[in-house]
Amino acid sequence: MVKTLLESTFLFVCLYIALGICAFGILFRIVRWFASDTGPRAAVIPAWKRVAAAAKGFITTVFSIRFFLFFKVLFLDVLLQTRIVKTDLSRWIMHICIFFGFMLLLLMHALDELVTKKLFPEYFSTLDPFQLLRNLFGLMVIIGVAIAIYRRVRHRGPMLATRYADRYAVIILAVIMISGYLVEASKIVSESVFNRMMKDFSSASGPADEDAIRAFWSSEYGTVFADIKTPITPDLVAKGKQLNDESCASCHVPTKSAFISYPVSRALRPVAMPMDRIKADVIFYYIHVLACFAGLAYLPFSKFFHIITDPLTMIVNGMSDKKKVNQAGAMPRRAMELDACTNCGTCSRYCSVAPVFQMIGNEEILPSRKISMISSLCSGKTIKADELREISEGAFICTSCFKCTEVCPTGINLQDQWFAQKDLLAEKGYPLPHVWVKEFNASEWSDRIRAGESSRTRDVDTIKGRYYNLTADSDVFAPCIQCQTCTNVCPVVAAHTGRKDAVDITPQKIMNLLRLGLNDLALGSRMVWDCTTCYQCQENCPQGIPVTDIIYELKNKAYGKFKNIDRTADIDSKDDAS
Amino acid sequence: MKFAFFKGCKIPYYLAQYETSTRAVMKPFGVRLVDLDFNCCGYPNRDLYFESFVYSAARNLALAEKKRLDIVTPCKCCYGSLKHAEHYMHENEKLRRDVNTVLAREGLSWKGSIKVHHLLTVLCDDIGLPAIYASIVKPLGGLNVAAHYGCHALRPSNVVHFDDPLAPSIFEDCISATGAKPVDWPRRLDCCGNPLLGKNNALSLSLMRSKTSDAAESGADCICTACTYCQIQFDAVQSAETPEPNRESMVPAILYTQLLGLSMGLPERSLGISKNTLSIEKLGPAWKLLPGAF
Repeated sequence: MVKTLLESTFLFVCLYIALGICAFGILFRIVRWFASDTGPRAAVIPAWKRVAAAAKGFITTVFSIRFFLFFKVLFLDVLLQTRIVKTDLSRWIMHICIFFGFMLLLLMHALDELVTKKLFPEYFSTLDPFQLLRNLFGLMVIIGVAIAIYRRVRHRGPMLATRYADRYAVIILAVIMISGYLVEASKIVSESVFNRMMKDFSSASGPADEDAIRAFWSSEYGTVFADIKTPITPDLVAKGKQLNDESCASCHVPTKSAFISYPVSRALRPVAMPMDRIKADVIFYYIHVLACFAGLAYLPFSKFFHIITDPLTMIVNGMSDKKKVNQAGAMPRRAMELDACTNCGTCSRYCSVAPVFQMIGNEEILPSRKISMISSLCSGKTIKADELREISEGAFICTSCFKCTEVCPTGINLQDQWFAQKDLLAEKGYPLPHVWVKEFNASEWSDRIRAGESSRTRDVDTIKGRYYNLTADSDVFAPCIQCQTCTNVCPVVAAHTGRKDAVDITPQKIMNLLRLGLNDLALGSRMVWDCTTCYQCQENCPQGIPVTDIIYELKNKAYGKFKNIDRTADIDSKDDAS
Repeated sequence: MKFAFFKGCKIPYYLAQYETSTRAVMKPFGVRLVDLDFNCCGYPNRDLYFESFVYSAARNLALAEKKRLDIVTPCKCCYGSLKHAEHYMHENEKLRRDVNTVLAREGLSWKGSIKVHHLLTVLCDDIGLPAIYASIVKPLGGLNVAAHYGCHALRPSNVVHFDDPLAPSIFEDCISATGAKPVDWPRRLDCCGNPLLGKNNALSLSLMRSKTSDAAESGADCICTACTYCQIQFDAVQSAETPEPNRESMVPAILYTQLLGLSMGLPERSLGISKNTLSIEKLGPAWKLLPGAF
């Protein structure tokens, strides 16, 4: 038998290195929660304030009646994962299989010396129920991994993007499980393992007895021997069984109870001899254990970090009011949530504005995508202007309907993440279109359009509506008789009383600009972007001109043009140069 | 009667009392409201992308069509948006074809076989005012209510087919049924300002204040809304944005379903009046006169 792990200096050292890296990694990531600027006005909330807010939140919660929620969250959300079952049964089965399969293997098998032996003094890894359970738990993990792979293939696409972290998680689990079964199977067939055990434990008193045990193990337990001198007869097997019961059975149940490894060992029979020569069982054992150590060391940097962050997130958010957000305490919480997201795509499936994504194809609309973009936004990486524009567009298309927050299996306060993201983007100069449009007035925008168009070929598609073209169809606006009814009934015109915020171009003037073919001058006007879309003008127009629909179309067209214009460019100096 | 209940984006999180009170007042009339997996009505996206607005709305229509259910929505913006999409889909063949192509990806299609209703039209036309009058057990006599129509259900009339766009009466009729007195106020058909919230706050609030002060001058005890956004504007926004010296002049807002539910003697648990931001005690003496008041 391979010596237990702790007798191999090499593996012993590896274990401690892995543990060290893991502990350091966890610490590193937790410290980073308090250093990441995950919300607006980060400069005025230094790290110590965030630590203090988190500590205060912790203490006030522990000493309040809400503390009893802790047990509810722990039992229902963390252990039974009821948040997953609410939205998706197959994912719940997948996750329960992996979680319980892996955790029970960890406790019963990997930590057998520390846990199982203490609880069951008669524990031996080759006794039942331990051998059977080991196979069962492993099977659970493999079923879970298979469902995970199936789901990622079946639902592949932007709604469930499979990235490096997801592939790594599936692969490392599969390697650990498969190598585990291979260790067991290759031990079952191995003659040298059998011989070593015989030497250590057998009370057989001569070659005849040894042959009987060999015959029994060969025919019943699946061991593959190079040569058995005497022919295997039922009598010999019966004698072997008797000897087996005397010397082996006390710590070795039939190998068949390893209901996965045993069939695997049957499949390995043809290559059992060469495998035994190269000590395949030892090789597989090293692969198995080293894969576990690799998984352990890489845990804080992989998707498996969610084993720590998810329960924490569920507990923190399950015990606090999602509507009341303390900005100082929210910073580290948001950073923790960013680490807790497992990219499961549930939010995107329930997103209320996902149909907009179907039409315009901007992935930044999808919450699952947004949450990973927030990580980059907060990491201080420089993001290109056109990328920021896309992010901003996606962020402000969100209607804050809270659906994603409700369905998130991890209980991340996504709604608060979106609010923070919008504020952050506004701080970076990428607010809501209705706000940044006001950086320039109508004629400045018109100049910018011309400056932009001279350097670029006209993109006809964005300028011409595909279905309606009210602003270019003179039949639509030519009947305007400039009676000013639209202007007189407009509540926006009436509300702008001061000189400073007066409406620049009234609705009836917009009609006039269209008639003059000066559409560009209307695009950036306050009237267009401050329109409340109340349809008073359209309803009251004596000529039946669809004034509000025209304003809507102007907004569409303006946005199509403006979003590609660099708002920071200095066009005056360009004019001077030319 | 059975309808697909279109809540829109804001009700579940910001205005849960609108859903509970709607369900509560509909139940006695035998109206069943079914939840479907609806998405955004498309209205917020109309400013930027016409096609995605139509598609969002059409997807909702197609979902209801699949279940062969008419849609009822308590939100006037959602109502307007769904009606607009319906209108465009009928009118523009190319648009219809393209939207249906995208819908077909998930096995949906729009044929135009179902209708979109607003809560008020269901109450007034489908259930009928006589049935509503008959259900009133605690008439709200002495309460002066300003009916706030909400733009997107009312206009443009050739698209939304709600009521007479220049002289509507449906809301006043519904209010009269509760025993309360609808007040005549000049700005009853104007915009609440909410569409501009976050885009131009000063303007949004100025529109709101012109309405609240008009309602107060016209002798209204409260403004009654039948729209998610209007209610948010007059309730949460008015409360948050009115500075201390002017707080006395605030006019509280009440959802029509809450008003009706009160007169029907329904319990506060389902009406959720205490969940409104502006406390209803602001209604002052008129409120205290009400039978069954708190």
